[in-house]
Amino acid sequence: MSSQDIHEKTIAEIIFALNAKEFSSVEITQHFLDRIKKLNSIYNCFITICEESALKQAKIADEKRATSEFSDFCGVPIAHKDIFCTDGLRTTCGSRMLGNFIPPYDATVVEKFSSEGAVVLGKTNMDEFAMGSSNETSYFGAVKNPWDIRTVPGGSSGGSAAAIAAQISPGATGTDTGGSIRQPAALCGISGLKPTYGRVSRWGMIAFASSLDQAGPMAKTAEDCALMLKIMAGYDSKDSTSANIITPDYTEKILCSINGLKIGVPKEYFQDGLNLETEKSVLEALSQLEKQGAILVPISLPHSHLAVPAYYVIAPAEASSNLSRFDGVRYGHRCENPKDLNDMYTRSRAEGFGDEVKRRILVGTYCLSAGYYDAYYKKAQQARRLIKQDFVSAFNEVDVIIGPTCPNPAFEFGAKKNDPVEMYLEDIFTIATNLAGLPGMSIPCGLVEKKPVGIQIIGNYFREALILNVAHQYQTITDWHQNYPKDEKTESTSKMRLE
Amino acid sequence: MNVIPQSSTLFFEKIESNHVFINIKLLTTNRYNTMTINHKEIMKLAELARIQLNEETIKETTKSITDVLCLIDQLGAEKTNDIQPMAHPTDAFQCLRTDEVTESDQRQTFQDLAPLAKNGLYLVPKVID
Repeated sequence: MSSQDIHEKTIAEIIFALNAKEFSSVEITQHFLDRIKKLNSIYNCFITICEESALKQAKIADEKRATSEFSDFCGVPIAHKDIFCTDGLRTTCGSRMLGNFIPPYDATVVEKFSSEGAVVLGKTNMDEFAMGSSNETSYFGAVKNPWDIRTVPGGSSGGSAAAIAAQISPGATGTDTGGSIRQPAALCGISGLKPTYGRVSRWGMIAFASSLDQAGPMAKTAEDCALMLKIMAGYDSKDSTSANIITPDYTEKILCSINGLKIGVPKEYFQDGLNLETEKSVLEALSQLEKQGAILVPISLPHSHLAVPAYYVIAPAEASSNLSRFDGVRYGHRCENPKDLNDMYTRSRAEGFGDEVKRRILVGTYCLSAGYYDAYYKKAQQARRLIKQDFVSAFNEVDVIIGPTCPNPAFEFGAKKNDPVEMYLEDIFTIATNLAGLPGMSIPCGLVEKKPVGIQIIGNYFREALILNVAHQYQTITDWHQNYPKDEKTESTSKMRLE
Repeated sequence: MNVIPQSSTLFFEKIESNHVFINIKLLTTNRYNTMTINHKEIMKLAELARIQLNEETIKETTKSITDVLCLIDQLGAEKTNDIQPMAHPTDAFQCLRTDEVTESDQRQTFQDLAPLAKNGLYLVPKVID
């Protein structure tokens, strides 16, 4: 493979090339930076590009590789979702509110990658405060789906997903509160894992809904996600929700056979409303897994219909509380010439937050306000337990659960922007796992209307290794994860993608 | 008979039977007539949330919040009397740290981020005349 094709490599292949001294980290990093410079103006994947610091980190990595002991990830370039605080590097969370915010510390996830010697290419675009399923709510403009720039990349980790699909970063971090890793992974044809709640530290990750948020890896393959999760996972005393549970060697476990594995197929995920072609691709994927020795078991998750309504009580309620910290006093946007303290609060927040964030804060405020708490918040928490119990019962019978990640392939810009409820329903299959706190992963399983669709693999608590194992075994006999769109022509941003 | 708004039928137009999406269909039929929120209530919410609402967009905001409230209102149909509310996904308990100082004084670093700070104080508009 020539240096012109470096971007086609997976993270595992980059590590192999670095170990074999086929390329240096500086060469690899420069190659990705060149592609970012060429293509980011079209796809808008990055809010901040770190050319100078990335090359400096790559040089240090090369020196380390030449002179001392080094870890596998030393010199591998990745990108971070702009929700993770990065010491001395602007962190916006996709919002005007934090448009000039330069954190004085690194998030634990960022620090872990840095200590392994990873190179940070930049900070990826996202829906504002991770609230959205299309990336249209970013203050820094929407990300375009590299498969078809007229369509959305999904959200909220749309910048991370599109950067991988456009092959301008081999991997990226993401966060998932209701599907924000898995849905953009499906829509962009990449692999993305939301770990169990508590598996990855959230210290330094800007909070949206604290009982749901979780960070995870996004990359081309399950193997790459395993490599990234190996670094990201683990107990962190700085995060009180971090789970003190041993982290297995994910890269070793992916190689196991899935012969005899019981896969639950929930009937509620295969009803009318699911795109027929998407359904066909998912069923085809299940039949491939069956050929590898897995046993398909029909199951029911009878409270699935409660997931979206419960989520849109719990997430906005928690968001309204978490985002109350943005008051224009200690950091973030402050309005010009406030006439009094209340004017400063109300105008700073009105100017700093976009429409979707304001909408969710108002809905959350409503649900938590006097007289409504029992009817909404308590009720949603009860529904949440019913949803969790469905999964607990299912996992008494099966090892993993598989269904579609999203009901449809990527939709066009503006198609759902003015109807929040329709937008919320894009996450109908992903939200339940967040409410239950379970791990879930999306991997590509086909093309519908020339756009990627994914299957979602849901595992029991802390069984990420098994999910990655199933995903990797599927990817050993299929090639959907090797399909990538051609680069968009740089001279015309309005031109449709050439097939 | 309720009229299903055109925009909300796109996703669920083929719904016929009693399954997971049925409640979403109820939403599309009910969204404009079950749950409403008026101008006074939206202004109260905005006051509680400390967000100034723009008069020109208040109608649109009210409509979209009404739509979301209709969505979450579906929870009311579910019988949950005996169900223990679930606050934490893994039912974990709050961990306590040991009572020792781990952070150094970084007042200046943090105040460098403030829109307005002077002499170690965060400055805000005068509260008391």
